Amino acid sequence: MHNRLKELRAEHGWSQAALGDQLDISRQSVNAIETGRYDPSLPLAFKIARLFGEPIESIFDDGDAVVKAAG
Amino acid sequence: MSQTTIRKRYRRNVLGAGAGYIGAVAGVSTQLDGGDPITALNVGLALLPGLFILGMVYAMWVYIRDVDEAARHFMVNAMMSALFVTLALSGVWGLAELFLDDLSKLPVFFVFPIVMGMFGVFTAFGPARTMGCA
Repeated sequence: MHNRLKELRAEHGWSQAALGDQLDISRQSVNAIETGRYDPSLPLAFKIARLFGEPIESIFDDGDAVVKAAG
Repeated sequence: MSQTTIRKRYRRNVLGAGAGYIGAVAGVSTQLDGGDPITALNVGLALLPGLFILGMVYAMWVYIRDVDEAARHFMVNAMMSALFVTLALSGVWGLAELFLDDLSKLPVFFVFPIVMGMFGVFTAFGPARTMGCA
């Protein structure tokens, strides 16, 4: 699943550790999510969305929405 | 509790229990040689190293319970891989022991160190490596 976490974090000027502190996860976990090695749970995805003030679907994209819209 | 604190506590508890386990095994080995009578003291001494095994298992359980979900995901995957390898090894060897009387017997005691060793290998060389869990 693709996500804009790295982009949003950069816009806010936060380090991975700073973002991790706000989400109560480790820097390594932020990195795992940013690089797509780990897809967050729904509660964590909501937490991320609320932190950045954006809807979940604008941050996380499974690629399915584009396919459906095109179809 | 911060993730850093959780990781430090895990390392401290596992290393402490591991050191206690090694010390207990070494100490009890000087007192019991396998042929001693079953007395309350000897049974207590024989069970002593096992208490440190329980300590290590408890430390891992607390860590898995408290650590963040991404680290938990990778750690549980490493643990499952270690368990599957150990189940396969012990199952295959156990069957061979049944059919071949002269084959060396693998004491059940070795299951725990094998699981821990495999867990260490999968943690150090698998995806969990990058999570700071090793």
